[in-house]
Amino acid sequence: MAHSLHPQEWVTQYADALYSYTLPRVNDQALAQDIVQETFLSAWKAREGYKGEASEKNWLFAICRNKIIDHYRRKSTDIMVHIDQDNTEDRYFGEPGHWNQQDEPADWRNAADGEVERKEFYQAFEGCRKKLHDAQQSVFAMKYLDDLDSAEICKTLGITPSNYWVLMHRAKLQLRNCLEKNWINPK
Amino acid sequence: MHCKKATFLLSKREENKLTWLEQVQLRTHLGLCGACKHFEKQTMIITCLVKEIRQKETLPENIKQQIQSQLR
Repeated sequence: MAHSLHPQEWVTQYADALYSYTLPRVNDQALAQDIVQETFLSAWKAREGYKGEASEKNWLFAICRNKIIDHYRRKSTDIMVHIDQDNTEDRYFGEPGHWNQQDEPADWRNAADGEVERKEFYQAFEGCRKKLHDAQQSVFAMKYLDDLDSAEICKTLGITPSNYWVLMHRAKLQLRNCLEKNWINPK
Repeated sequence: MHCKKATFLLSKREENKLTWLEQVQLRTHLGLCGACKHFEKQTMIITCLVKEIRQKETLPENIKQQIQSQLR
């Protein structure tokens, strides 16, 4: 029965796994739930065309993945406007290019060594990530969660390598600043 | 070199795109600048922790039921 699907078991078997995969990538519960739902519906509509080349599970994940990529693309339509208007660097660096005193990175020491500390990191990280603009969130997820290389990311989003570095770099500047305030030194 | 440039080169380095001269300049700067050295370490910490995000999530029951009813 290599070519058969079992749609009645999809939800029990794969719903949580697909949701766990999607949520960290889109960082929004409602949206992640929509994507999982759309994945199952698309799969249902395409079930006649299933040839059994991939396992049922991989086939569903591939559909889900495409939906996530669509989401990254949608969030990046105005990417160039952001690149031009963003002044992240000027927020943290004064003249002549030195860190502003209040923004100087501190020593995090062994901040992430313990289990509790890590948990706190993920909580802070979730909030800090939401403060990035949409295009940055997409690029960040593609790079660090999907492990895509920069060439693939540039191709998917239609940006140049230098646009990509600038986006990533600004995302890192903002994230580390936010994490230092909310995770390392919470008030 | 100043910190603004050095941090940019650190990000660029992740893509292995530094010229030989940039590598030397960056290394020199990091040897002298504690803040940028911390920046370097921090971005590594963030990268490592983010790659380990493996939370097990549960799709809410009502949504599961809703989907189940649509698959027939």
